[in-house]
Amino acid sequence: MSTGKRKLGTGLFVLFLLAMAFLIVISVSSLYFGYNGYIREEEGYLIYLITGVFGLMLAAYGANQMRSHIVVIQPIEFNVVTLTECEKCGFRNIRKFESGDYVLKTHGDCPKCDGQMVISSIYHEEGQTPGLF
Amino acid sequence: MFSTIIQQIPGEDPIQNIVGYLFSFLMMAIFFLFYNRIQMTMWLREIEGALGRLEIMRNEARRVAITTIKEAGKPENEIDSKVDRILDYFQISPVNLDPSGIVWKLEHLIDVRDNRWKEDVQMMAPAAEKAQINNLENLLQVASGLNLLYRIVRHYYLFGKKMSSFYVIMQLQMLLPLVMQEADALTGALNAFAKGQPIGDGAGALVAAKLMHGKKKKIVAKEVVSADFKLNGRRLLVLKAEGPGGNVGRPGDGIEKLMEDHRGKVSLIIMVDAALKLEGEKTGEVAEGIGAAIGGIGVERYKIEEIALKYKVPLNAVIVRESVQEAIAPMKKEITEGVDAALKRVMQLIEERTSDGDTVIVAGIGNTIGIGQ
Ligand SMILES: [Zn+2]
Repeated sequence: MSTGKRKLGTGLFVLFLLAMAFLIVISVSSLYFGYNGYIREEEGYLIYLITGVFGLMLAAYGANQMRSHIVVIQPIEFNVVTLTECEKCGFRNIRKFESGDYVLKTHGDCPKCDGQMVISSIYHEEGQTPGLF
Repeated sequence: MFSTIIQQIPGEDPIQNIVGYLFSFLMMAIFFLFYNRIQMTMWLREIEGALGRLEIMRNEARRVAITTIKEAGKPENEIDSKVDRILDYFQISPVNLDPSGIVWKLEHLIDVRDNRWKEDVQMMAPAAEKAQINNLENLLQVASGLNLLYRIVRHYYLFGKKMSSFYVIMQLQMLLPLVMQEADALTGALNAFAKGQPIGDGAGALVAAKLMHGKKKKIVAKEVVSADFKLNGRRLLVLKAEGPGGNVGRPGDGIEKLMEDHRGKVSLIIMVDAALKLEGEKTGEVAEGIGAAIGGIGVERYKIEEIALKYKVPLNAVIVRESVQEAIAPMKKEITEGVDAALKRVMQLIEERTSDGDTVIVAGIGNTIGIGQ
């Protein structure tokens, strides 16, 4: 299938990126203040730490949301193979599916004996790399 | 007085603290007042994303249908508008206030619809062969299914947005995973139907095809082929939809015809079909049960149950498990292995449940696209 992106204006996208950058800067500096406060045993460092952690969590959530919006639809093309078998001697041959193939179609003579080749199955295996056969 | 309140607030800088308090109070108020709104906006964004994907899928299905028809059928005129018309076909279910006889009304409707689709495809693709016409019809059905999904989701999305209805949007958002799973399955099926590859649903048909391979065959009902032969002392009547074009035939009519031909002197009916697995179960697993193993709207199952009851013949079912997506995607290797296991199970059933000289009907159910006999 052709690549299809979720329509999302570039302006909006830039705005989103800016907001995310701002959020990350705020969170990280807040974490820094919190850490400093902790080291120097100042009061109120906890609120900085909490703000920082929440800010980062929010940023991660936002990024995740964004990613799910710019999903590209992958072509669903299966690598389907045709297995032909000799009815007499059991000689097997495997190749890519060709248009016109169907299971139990007679498919020429056997190269090993005088038997007939028949398509015994047509299937796809998951995780096959195309062009293996 | 103001200063006394300020003095009661702990901390070093009272002004800084009061700003903090106000801020958190404001956030809480916003959350309480606008929680539904925020949630709804998030759901709407999610639905929008899904709707965009559905639209792409629908357009792709339409494009594949049109190019395949052009390749296979060599149409004389422009077919785009014709395809659009077919994708919008609808069907009105018969009234069920008085359910007696509804099965026959349904059957008639399905007949009319099938003929209508086939005629239309034939008109658009005059050069296509019979098997190709069946495949093209299946392809158009997939495209029409995607079109319907897109239109329904769009309807509820726009409706929920217009009415600002939390509950309409919530329901749509909750159903979205199921809808998208269905849409993904249909999109995966496009290529299989366009090229005429066997699909997972054909598992039952493949079992019957392997049984009747090399035997003499005849047509017993509309698009149902059957073979009559002896095996291990039993008389086997095997039937399946006529391949290799994409079609499910009328196995109900086929079984009825065979039963009547033998005046009900049949000891066992075994139906083999692909069945939906539950999450966590293995694809290609074979299971056995009783009853008429056949999906669809119920017309064929009704006929089979009626005729089995009439002659009191036990109905046995052998199923090959697979998921919704696997059922209409090109057949997986696990399913072809399941088919071999199912074939063994059928032979075992015949061995155990019948004796020498008995007659057994074996019906392979499912779409026989890419499967001969
Ligand atoms: Zn050979």
